[in-house]
Amino acid sequence: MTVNGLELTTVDEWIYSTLAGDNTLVGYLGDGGSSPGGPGVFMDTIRDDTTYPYVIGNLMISMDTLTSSGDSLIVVADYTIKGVDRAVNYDVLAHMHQRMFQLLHNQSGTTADGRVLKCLRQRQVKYSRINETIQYRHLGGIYRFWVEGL
Amino acid sequence: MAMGPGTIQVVIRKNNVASWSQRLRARVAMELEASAQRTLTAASSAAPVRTGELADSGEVRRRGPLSFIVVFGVGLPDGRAIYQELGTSHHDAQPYLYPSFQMEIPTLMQRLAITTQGRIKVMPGMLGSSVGISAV
Repeated sequence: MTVNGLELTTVDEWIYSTLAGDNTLVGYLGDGGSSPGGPGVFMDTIRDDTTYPYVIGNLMISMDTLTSSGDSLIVVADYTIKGVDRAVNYDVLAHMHQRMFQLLHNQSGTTADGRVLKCLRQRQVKYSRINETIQYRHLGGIYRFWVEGL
Repeated sequence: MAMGPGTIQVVIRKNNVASWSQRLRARVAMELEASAQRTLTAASSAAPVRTGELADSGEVRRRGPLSFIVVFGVGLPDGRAIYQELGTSHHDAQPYLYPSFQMEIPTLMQRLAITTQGRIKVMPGMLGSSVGISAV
């Protein structure tokens, strides 16, 4: 196993390709995922013109797993991956949440720069916010990734 | 898991200790509380600062003989403790509590191994931990 410094972008790319490439999930997104710029799946930051609901992933923390000699073997990274909706209930988000779990939990995959050895959901997150009478809801999970470079 | 409006918390606890002596339980409780305090300190330092209220809003609470909570958002009028940790539709996430707890876990495991003199093998999955989000 190796570390090439691209492990986190590997995770980003794998999350995006896995979620944005799924017709079922994309079908729940704003404009049915056909909004300009591509499906409503984002890493780190959304676009200004994003329509609801959308999916966003954020790195929370990453750790290099070291050998006794100090050589890095793999990177372990925790991401928040959630759906966000402007709605008075969690109805659509619940479907998105369930689908994201199916697509990510206990899965693995490869990108051009690295390999996601395993993804496991650690816990779920759910909260809402009211901003000037508009309700925003968030539903998703914290997922842990074990990743190595190629 | 709800603690009150706008709070976020991590739980540090140890289960399945029925066969432990009172002395050992007391030692483990001290380690868990110390771990919670270290998590609180680290999270306070990592919390994004605008007014400083978020960093000052954290505290450790004991909720059982071997269970402690690190909670942020105490006394704040809004849900910024959650919003900063996990983000909103208008602001990106700036997590401070969950990463601090994850960084603490190896130290806690090491301390518990010493405290129990190796009689109890502590695995990460045996440490009860969660991020609890209250309704706002």
